[in-house]
Amino acid sequence: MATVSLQRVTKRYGQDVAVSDVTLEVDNGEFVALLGPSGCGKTTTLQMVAGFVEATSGDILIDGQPMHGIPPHKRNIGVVFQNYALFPHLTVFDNVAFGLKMRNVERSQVVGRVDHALDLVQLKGLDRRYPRELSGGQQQRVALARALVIEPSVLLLDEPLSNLDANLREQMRFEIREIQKRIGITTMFVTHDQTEAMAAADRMVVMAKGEIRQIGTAREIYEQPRDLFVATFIGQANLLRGKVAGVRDGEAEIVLDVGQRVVARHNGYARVGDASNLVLRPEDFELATEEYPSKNNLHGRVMRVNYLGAAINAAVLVGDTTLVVSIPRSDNVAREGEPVVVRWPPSAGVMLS
Amino acid sequence: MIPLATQRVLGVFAVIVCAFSIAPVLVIVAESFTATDYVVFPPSGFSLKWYVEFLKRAEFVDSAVVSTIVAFGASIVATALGTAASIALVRYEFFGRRVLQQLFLAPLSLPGLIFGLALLQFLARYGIPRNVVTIALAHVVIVVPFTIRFITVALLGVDRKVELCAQSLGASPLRTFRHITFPLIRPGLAASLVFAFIISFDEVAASLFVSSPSATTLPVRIFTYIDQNYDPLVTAVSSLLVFAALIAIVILERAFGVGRLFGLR
Repeated sequence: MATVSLQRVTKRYGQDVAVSDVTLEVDNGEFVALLGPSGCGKTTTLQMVAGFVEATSGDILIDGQPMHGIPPHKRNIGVVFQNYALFPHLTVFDNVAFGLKMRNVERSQVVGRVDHALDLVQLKGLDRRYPRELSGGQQQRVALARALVIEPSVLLLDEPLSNLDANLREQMRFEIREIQKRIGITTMFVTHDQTEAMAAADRMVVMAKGEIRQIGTAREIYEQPRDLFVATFIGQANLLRGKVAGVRDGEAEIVLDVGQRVVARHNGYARVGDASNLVLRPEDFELATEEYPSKNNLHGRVMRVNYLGAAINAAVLVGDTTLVVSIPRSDNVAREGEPVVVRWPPSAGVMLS
Repeated sequence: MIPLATQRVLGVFAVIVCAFSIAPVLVIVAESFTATDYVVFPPSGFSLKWYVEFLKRAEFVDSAVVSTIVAFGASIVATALGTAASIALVRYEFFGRRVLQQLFLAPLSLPGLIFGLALLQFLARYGIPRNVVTIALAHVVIVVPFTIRFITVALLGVDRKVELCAQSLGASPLRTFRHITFPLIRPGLAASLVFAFIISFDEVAASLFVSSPSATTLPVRIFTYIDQNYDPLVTAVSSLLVFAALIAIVILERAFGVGRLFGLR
């Protein structure tokens, strides 16, 4: 168990900057997800922590120890890759025992610890099998057991669930989280799947183009995105463009490009005359037939209605902007082609420049 | 998809190519069993007398021994060098990697005659004796490109992440090679050894220049022998070369499957 600290870490490949000035503190026992589109530098960041890639500048500290110049085999780190990367010529037992053998652990102890690790991932009785004789989910468990058996300071997971089918992915995500909590190991998890990151992690780190855009809990990032990239990358976002017309009592009045005046929670820095984007989640809206005085009201026309089971998704055309609205399935206001009022309270939504 | 008609034509073409490559070998092997004192095809009678004759001729037996030692030495050294070179070429990005890659494979396109002539001048100039070791070293240069090809194919088949995992689990790069990479490329190493052996055992052009009365390889011995004589003895000795290669390939196929070693499967 350990803390991980990245201080102004940068990685360049020639002229290309893969990771730019990343600073991140991971607490003891914390589960942090690095999330971003492919090429955002999340995997490179993980590889620098593992020691597979040396940072161009900046410091990486594990438990306060600077890692500069320390090769991977001296870092005591558990790694699980997307393709599991099991040793194909070794049995399940020998795969899991490998790290212990490299540490010259006594044979008598090895058996017990391997059994314990296989027990942890619910894989008892398969220790004589070879990786090719296992299903994807079982291989994933072996990879996890192999990484955990050495009692690493940090567990690094690089897209560990992406090769599994949907049902198994959810189950494994749950199990990984369960095991992580039980043994309290500091974990960094790289994924491009926001659902995975939100469901599993204590905190999320959203990255783009080598930079950290926002660090926070799932709730913070979903409800208080710091910029447009984060707002649109995490969840669905409706963008209403406009100009700030007035600021008072923590609220801002915005004249939207579609012509209407709306009120929103002030972001603290926008001034009168600034261009502003109001970001609203589909479920922030409600649909009605008439305006409600203390709310923001936009008149539009229902273009499309999709019944999704848990909710109804509707597309509403307001001016030249299409808003995606999610409403309870009991709501039967939305009928395709009919005029409708889109309403939301000023407290909903986030103002971004 | 290739159209059926084209497939047929290609099939016939492949068969013709195989026939033209193998037929001369079959003719020689058949001739070696002749009971006559002259070379004739089809052979008349069946006899092993020319194989017995081979065993009676000390210079041929000596040459067989020289060739075997040279082929063993060259294939082992070349495979070791090829492994080191392949690891560098496949696993590491460094300045001049492309150039080195071309340079390592250059002897493939270098005529053996020119290489042999250059080597002869070099040895003469510095007074280096021409013996088994010199021949073996010459063969190392000739077969190293082949070993690099085989081992590169094998290494490309090993997931880099598997090696990284081993390192994260506490294995130093050396132990990672010993416990993970080496077992995984063993088929490629075996192929490298066997083919290096066969190529070395068969090599004539460069060996002509570096052979000396004290050390002459079997192909060179055959070559110089037929300059003066033409009897079934050469067909018997040549057949021995064929049999040696055949046995090596069969062992390799049984152990690993030859197709896989060429990256065909």
